[in-house]
Amino acid sequence: MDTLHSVLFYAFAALTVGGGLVTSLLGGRARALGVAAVGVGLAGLYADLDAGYAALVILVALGACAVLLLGLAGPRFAAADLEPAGLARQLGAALAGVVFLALAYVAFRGRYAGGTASIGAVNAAAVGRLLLGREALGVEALAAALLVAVAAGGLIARGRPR
Amino acid sequence: MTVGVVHFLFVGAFLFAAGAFVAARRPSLGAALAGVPLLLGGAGLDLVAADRFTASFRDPVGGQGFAIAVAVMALAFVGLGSVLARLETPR
Repeated sequence: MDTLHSVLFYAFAALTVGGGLVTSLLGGRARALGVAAVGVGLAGLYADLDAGYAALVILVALGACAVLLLGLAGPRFAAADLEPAGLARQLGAALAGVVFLALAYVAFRGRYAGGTASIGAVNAAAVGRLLLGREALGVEALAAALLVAVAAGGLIARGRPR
Repeated sequence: MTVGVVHFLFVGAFLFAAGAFVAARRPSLGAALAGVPLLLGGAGLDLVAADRFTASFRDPVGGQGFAIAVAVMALAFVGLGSVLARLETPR
């Protein structure tokens, strides 16, 4: 990619990361504005990748998400927003950091960096072959983790007072 | 200052982890809903980047199609969740 694409990438990546941080750390209307900033940043990144139609769709979709979240930022929902998080939720939030480290490790050290991860056409058949063939072990591990998460979510929901 | 697929994957990984953080951190449905667009937006960015850097001539926009489906899915999740949050929260 040339210099103009690089400058555009860094500008929109900064907007996306900033919007993600605002959404993660702030509450109320700022959270909805953070989602809108992520939408603009992602649309710019998609356009930088020559995906103009997808950029338009993500801009409209995340803009609509921001409007919906703005509707949930009123005083009626403020009390629920300030409820303290339990130990399980704090552990889950900490695990998000582990997820980021794992994904960043895969991005930098995985086969994508060397350009050897090409699966040819990105369509349903190719993705199916990839997930059930070469990456079957990872998919099984993810499926097991998802099953445990769903079971734990069900147990937590059963224990909630009505 | 060359930008490659790794840079896009890194931003997508950050967004995915930020979405998981938001969804896990707060007990209220309205607050957790804000994590869904981040989660799915990160996944969509990875799809478009993989498509752009590894696509063949047979199906050059397949990843973009998946990304569009993921974006619409995010909007559907947030729409449904906001209705549920309004029903769940007392006036």
